[in-house]
Amino acid sequence: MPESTDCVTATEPREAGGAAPGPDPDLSLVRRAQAGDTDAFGELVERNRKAVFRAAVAALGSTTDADDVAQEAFVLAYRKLASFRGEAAFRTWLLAITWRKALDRRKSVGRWLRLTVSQADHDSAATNWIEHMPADRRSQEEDLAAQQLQQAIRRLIRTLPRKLRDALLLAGSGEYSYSQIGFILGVPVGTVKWRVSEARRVLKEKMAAVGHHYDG
Amino acid sequence: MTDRQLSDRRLDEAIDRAVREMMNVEPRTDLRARVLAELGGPPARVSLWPRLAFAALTLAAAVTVLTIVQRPSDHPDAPQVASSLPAPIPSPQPAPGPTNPPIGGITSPPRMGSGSPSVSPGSSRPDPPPSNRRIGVQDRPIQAASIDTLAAPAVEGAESVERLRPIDPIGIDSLNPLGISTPDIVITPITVEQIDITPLPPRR
Repeated sequence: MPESTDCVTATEPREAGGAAPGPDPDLSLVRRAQAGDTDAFGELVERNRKAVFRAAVAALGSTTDADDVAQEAFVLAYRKLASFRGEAAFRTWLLAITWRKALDRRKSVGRWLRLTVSQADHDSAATNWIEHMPADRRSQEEDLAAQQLQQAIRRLIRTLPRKLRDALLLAGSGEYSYSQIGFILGVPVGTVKWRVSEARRVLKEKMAAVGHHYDG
Repeated sequence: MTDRQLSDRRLDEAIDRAVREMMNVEPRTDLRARVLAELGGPPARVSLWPRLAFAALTLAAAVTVLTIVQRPSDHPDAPQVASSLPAPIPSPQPAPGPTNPPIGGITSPPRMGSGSPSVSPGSSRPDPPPSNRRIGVQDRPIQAASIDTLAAPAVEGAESVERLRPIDPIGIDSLNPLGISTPDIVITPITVEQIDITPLPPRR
């Protein structure tokens, strides 16, 4: 299948800190941290915590698990800091560590059990969140339709194959560049773009199957 | 176009919005403090699941091995089958009766095959018996254990208790199953008759 990169409405992630060559804004802090400066590493945590946390959320779908994984990833990165040579940007290297940690967590039996038990609570919480959304200028009927559509899309995103879902969430977050995503997932940039496009196509098919038609 | 019919573009926008909302999450504010606290503390906590699973498998394997190993010792009277040993050979003369002196007035019947020579697995095998030998059958009568006397219990007032009557020995006629005989095997050489092969005519 040819690669499709016609994601006209896809968010183009920013390139800062990507795997592409360029000055690494974290490099000086990394050197200080490698010399044993924990305050410098604390600054690195502060700079990258959101990117690390969101990558974990993309892999796990749970903020609780993602919080644990983010902490574990930072600690592991500190312990492996001596092996960081600077071939990639520090953020990219850190995100790769985070992704591996998140995949380990995703495969764990304990997490599967917790998700199975708490699925009903999660669904009810999502419903409550929708009910408490503030109303904007649109009519209540339009709001309700938009909310139902968003809810349906989120539900269908969870049913996507993992490879497609991971690429779609990472790219759609606007937090990472395609080259970073390729480095994290261990695939070429073209594969990342194809997966995002394929995820959209599958999502539209699924939405059509549940009654949300569109003009193709 | 109805309300539920969306253009492809609008659907893409809806997907973008949904993904952004799913990913628009913030980490806890104390992440930096927790990371720095753990850097100076003990090594990161490792999940106990793999260790527990390994321990459970090891325990199950150990229990299985112990059960298999201890099974023969749980039944010491069970007959032990040794396929490499020859079948018991009947002694030429019948056993004269109990060979062990009575202990405490209790006599035990002779054990079957007690007169057979013991063969250790490492020793050389005896010559094979004749083909009409009988396997595993004893001609002796089997006698149950008998109690001749019972020691008087050293209990006060035991005189008033009537002494138990000796138990008559129980005789069991010996079994007389049909003897198993194996016919002699004669090996005759195979004779092959000479075959004459005539050559085929050559092909054109």
